[in-house]
Amino acid sequence: MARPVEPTPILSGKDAERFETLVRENQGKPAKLVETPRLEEVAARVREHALKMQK
Amino acid sequence: MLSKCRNEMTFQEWSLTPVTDFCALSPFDCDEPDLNDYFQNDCQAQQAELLNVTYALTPCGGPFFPTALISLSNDAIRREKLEDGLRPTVSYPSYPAVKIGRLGVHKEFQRDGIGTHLVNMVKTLFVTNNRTGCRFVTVDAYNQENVLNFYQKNGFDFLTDKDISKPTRAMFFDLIRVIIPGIK
Repeated sequence: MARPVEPTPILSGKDAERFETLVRENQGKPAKLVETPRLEEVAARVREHALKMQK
Repeated sequence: MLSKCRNEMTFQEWSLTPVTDFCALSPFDCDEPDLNDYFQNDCQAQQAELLNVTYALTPCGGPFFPTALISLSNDAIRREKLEDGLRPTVSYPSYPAVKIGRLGVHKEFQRDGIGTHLVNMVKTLFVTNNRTGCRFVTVDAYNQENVLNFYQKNGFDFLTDKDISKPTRAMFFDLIRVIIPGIK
């Protein structure tokens, strides 16, 4: 059996303060999705790999 | 009428679909024994118990090949009462979240942006057409430099320093920041 997924900790004290501060500060900083320029090339490699595995 | 396709998503020629045939995951190998064990042996039983749902990322067209897998479950970021003088961002002591329990990319296709694309799709999935509110993505990340760097590159931050020497670390991403072209 794999390692169980740990529960998300309940924040208290400094951790709770830091979390609130980060959330408040970041609200004005929109985040674009991270670019992934090689998707098309990887998709072609995956399709090729999958066909090879089928044989 | 319920739609079979509601939880499916296609984005830039890649498809993210909930896994229903777990035998189809047998070719998956991410070179990490604990993750392989989870996806080969544990995730099906956990899904049957409604604890999580595992999704497969595959390129559109061609035969099904689980290039990356991710298990998601409901979560919350909870905090105890703040010190006097610090006003909470919202008036709830608990923020709804979706948790990435485990995420793995097939060993042949690592460091090609597939994991990032998968995280992008999860962010998109949970800011569009949601049935319930979901403010954060949380993750129980392996405490390994490359894994933590991956999540940080994708905008995640640590929830606490108390888990700094534990095998996994809790991280979060605020979905309210996401900008998706053509959506908002």
